[in-house]
Amino acid sequence: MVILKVEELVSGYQDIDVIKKISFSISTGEFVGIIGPNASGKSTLLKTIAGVVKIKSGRVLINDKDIMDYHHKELAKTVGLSTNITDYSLNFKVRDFILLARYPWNFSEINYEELYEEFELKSILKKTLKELSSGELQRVLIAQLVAQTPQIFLLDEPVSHLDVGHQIGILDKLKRINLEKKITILASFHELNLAVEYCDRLILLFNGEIRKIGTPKEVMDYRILEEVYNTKLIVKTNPISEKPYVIPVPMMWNNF
Amino acid sequence: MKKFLWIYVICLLFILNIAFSLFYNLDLNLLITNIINKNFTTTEFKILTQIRIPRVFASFFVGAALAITGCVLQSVFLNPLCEGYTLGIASCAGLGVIVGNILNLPLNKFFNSLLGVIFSLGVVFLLVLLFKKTVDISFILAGIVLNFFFSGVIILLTLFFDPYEIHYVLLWLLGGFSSVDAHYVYISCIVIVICIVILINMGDKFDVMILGKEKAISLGIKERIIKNISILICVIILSLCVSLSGIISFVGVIVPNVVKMFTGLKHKNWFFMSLIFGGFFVSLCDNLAKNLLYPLEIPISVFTGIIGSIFFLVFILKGNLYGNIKS
Repeated sequence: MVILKVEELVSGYQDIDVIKKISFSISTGEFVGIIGPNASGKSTLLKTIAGVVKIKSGRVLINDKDIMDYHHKELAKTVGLSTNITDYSLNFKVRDFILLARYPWNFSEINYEELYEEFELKSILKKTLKELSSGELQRVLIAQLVAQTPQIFLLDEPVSHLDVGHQIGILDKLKRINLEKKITILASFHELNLAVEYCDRLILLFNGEIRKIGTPKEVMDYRILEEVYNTKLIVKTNPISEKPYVIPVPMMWNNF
Repeated sequence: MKKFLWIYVICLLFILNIAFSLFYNLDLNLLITNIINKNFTTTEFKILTQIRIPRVFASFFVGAALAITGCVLQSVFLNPLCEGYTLGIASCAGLGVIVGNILNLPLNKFFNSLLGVIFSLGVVFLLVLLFKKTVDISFILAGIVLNFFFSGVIILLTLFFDPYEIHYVLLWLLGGFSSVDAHYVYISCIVIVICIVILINMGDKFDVMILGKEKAISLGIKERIIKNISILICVIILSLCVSLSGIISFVGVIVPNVVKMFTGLKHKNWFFMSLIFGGFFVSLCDNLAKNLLYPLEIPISVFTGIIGSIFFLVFILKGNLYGNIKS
C-alpha cells in the first residue's frame, strides 16, 4: 500500500528551486534512504514532505490526501520530522523535551516508561540537553520522534557526527522500529555504506533531480556514483550482508 | 524544603512592601476609625484610595507586564536579551505620547498614549513585513536601531517644550508612578490582565516554538500566526505601560532571565513566576524611589537599573545564564 506519493514536486526558497520536478512513491513499512552530494536537495525534500518548506508546484500525497488539505495538527500526527536542535532549546530537561512531541495529540499520555527503556534514557531523564553527549542527544531526538507517534519518520542525517558504534546503535533502533511497528522511514544519509546496509530502497538525488532510484544494488553503480560525487570510487560486496559497499579512491592514486 | 523557605521569605517581603507603600506616613488609628464610622471623605482615606492604592496597582501590573513581555519576546526571537525596551517598542510608544503632547492634541493622556500604541504597532508591523524572510537577528538589530533612533527623536523634541515643562517630560521619560490617574490605572490593569491570561494560555505553544521554526511547524504549530499575535499583544501591553509610567528599562531582561534559572524552560511556569517577580520587583523599586530620599522622588529607572544590574551580574557570575549561547 502506498503511504507517501510525490508527484512532479517543485519546491525551494524564495527564488531558487531546490527540488525540480521529483516524482516517487513509498509503500507502508519501507525504509528508504536519500543519498546525494551536498546541496543536492536532501534536506529540502524532507522538509517539503513535512510541510515546512512551501510547495511551488506538484503535489505530496500522504495516505492519498494532499498535505495541503491536512489540518496542521493532523499532518503532525501522520508525519514526524527530526531537525537540528536550536541553541535555545538546549536548556530543556530531557523529559520535558520528549513530552513536547505530544503537542499535536494535546499531550495525551503514551507509555513513556517503555519509551525511556527502549532508548536507554532512564539515567539522563533529569539532565538538560546541553549536558548530553552527541550520541545521547541523537537518542533523545529519535525518542522524541517516536513519542510523536507518526506513521512516517523523516530523518535528516540521523547519524552524522557520530562514531561508528553509535551510528550502528541508532540505525539498529530505527530498523527495529521500522520492522516491529511498521513505521515508514525516509532518511537522508551522507554515509553511503550505512544507507546501503539499512535501506530497502535508495533515492540518489543530484541537483534537485532524481538521478537513480531503486534497490541498493541498482543504485550503487560506480559509473553513476562517480559522476554524481565527482570522484573515483570502488564498489565491492559485503561478504556477510551481501550488499554493495563503496570506497573512495584518493586523487593521488588515480595514475595507477 | 529550602525551596519553600525562599517562597515564604519572598511572600513575606512582598506583603511588607505593599503594606509599607500603602500605609507609610498615614495615621492608621485615624484611618481605622474613619472606616468604622463610614466617614469616607477625610484626607487620610482619600490619600489611601486615590493615590496609594492606584500606585501599588500600577507598579505591580506594569512590572508584571514588562516581565512577561520580556519572556514572550525572548521566546519569539530566541534571544535572551530581547524586551520591549531593547526592541524599540517602548521608545516608539514614548515618542507617540510626546508627539501628542507637543501637537497639543485635544485628547487626554489615555488617547495620547493610544496614539503611541498605534504608532508603535504601525512601525513594528512595517518591520515585520520588511523582514518577512527572517524574523530573527535582523529584526533584533532593527529594533536596537529603532530604539536609538526614537530616543534621539525624543530628546530632539524635548527642545520644543518650555523649560518648566521639560522637567516633567524628563521625569516621565525616566519612568515613575508619581502622576498616575486612578481610573486610567484600573482600566489599564484590566487590559493587562486580559493580555497576560491570553499569553499564559499560549504557553504550550511557546514550549514547542523554542524547538526552532521547522520543528515547530512539523509539530503542527502555525508559527508565523502565533509570533504575530504574541508580538501584537506585547506591543499593546508595552504601550499601556509606557503611557502609565514612562520608559522603565531592564526589568524585561533581568526578571525573566533570573526566574528562568529556577523554573526551567516550561513557559507556563516561567511566565507565571516572571510576572509575579516582575510585579514585586517594580513595586519594590517604586517604594524605594518614593521613600528613600523623601520628599525628593527618584526616577524608578535608577533603581531598576542599579539593583537589576547588580543582581544580574551576580547571577551571571554564579549561574550558567548564558551557557546556552556558547555551547
